[in-house]
Amino acid sequence: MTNPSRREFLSQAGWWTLVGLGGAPAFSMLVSSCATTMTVTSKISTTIGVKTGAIDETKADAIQQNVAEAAKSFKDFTPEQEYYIGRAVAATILSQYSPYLEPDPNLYLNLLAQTLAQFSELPETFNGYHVLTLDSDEINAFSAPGGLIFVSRGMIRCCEHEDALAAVLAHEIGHVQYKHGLQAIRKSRITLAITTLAIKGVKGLGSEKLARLTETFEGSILDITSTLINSGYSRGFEKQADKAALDILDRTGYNPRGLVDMLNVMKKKLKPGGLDFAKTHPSPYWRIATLREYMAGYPKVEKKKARQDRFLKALEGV
Amino acid sequence: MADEPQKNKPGMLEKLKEKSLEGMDKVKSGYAVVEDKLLYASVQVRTGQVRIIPSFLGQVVAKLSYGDRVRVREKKGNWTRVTLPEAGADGWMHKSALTKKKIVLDPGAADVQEEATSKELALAGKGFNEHVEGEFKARHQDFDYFMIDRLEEIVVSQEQITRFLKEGGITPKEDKPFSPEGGVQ
Repeated sequence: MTNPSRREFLSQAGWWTLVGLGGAPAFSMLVSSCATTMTVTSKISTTIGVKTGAIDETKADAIQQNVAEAAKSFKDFTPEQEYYIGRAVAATILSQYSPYLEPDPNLYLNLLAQTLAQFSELPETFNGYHVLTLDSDEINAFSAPGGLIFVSRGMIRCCEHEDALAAVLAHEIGHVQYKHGLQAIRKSRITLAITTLAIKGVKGLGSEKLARLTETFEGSILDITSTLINSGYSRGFEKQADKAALDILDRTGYNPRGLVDMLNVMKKKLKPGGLDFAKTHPSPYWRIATLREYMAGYPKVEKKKARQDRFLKALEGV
Repeated sequence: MADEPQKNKPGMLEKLKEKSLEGMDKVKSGYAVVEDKLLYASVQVRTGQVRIIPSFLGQVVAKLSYGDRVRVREKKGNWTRVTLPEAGADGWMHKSALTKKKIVLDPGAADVQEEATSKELALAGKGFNEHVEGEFKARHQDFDYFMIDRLEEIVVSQEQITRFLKEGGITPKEDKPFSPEGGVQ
């Protein structure tokens, strides 16, 4: 018997009903439109085009020297622009990973993330926070600017309770809140996007201007996705996101130790040389060590029955 | 003698102090001060929700659109009490939904000129916008924007969040910063 809250959820997100309960045809149609997981570097370089970035860089540098306007930074992107950047980053991630379209885990993750976001420093983004599970055994999670978040099945399996899963999402919300994604964009591209092309071309962009602006856009998306998928953020950014996670967990009413619990499982599961968090994040050992000073005073995570039951039920089969 | 009135009003100094702090807050916040020192802000998200109390748990009394201009009446932590110029409705918005800038929805040449030098103006649809996205989609037809659109359709209501917290035995500590000393109250 479907409980009332779940039914409400499903009718609200009619599409999930279609995908999850509407039978195999819809499901396979959606999945087949996405490539299965593959080596990321090659795909991105070819789809977006590294040479685009190089051209922009030269152009941008030249323009930068001639422009008398004040230097612009990632902070000058409006939430609206951040939204379009985030959608393109998310679309790129989905060209590398298949979504896992079971409704229960996805609905649960969205409920959890949107709850946590209300206790972050950035509860409101242009079009809100949304989460999608990736059908991958890798231990991975990404957040696109503006709040589109992806969590792999492998990552979910590192979580033994809701407080741990909340920590994964809170860490991603932390990256969104601090605009770490936007900070991965080369400064020259930002100048090009914000001061020069964009302002002059705001109304009725000519096709040439639109093409140039789109090249800058592609370059910016490449900057972000190659950071997310290949090189990873700096340790400083990761520490900041971990600290934000503790903050968000504590304010929401979760035990910040959920993050350490997750990292303790992750350190056992991560495979050296893997293309996931093994490559893009500081080691769980380092993260646990840097979090230690904040953990004093927090007891072990207590698995409350109702919370643990719903966690296990929603993620059954993941 | 001259001190007499002050003695009769013990709260005056505090009030004065408050007032000057209030002023400082305005300077710091950077909200545009126009028309007899009225403060205004603009909605910088697609749908801005106005609530009856300064909390997400508060009932939504109005929904505003991107670019809507509101008058700032009061601030409390991360929340701003606003009134809507036309309807006269009154309520609280989270500060992340607002910008001190005036958002121009359909900017013309003069706005473009002004935006280049002014910190008080933001142009809607500037730079990376739906046209750029359209061009980007055309260049990357294998990218799954259909899925992104569906993903954005998943909206969780405040009632669901409230129930989720309650059923999970989770008690939020609103407006309390994270304490390294621990969470045991």
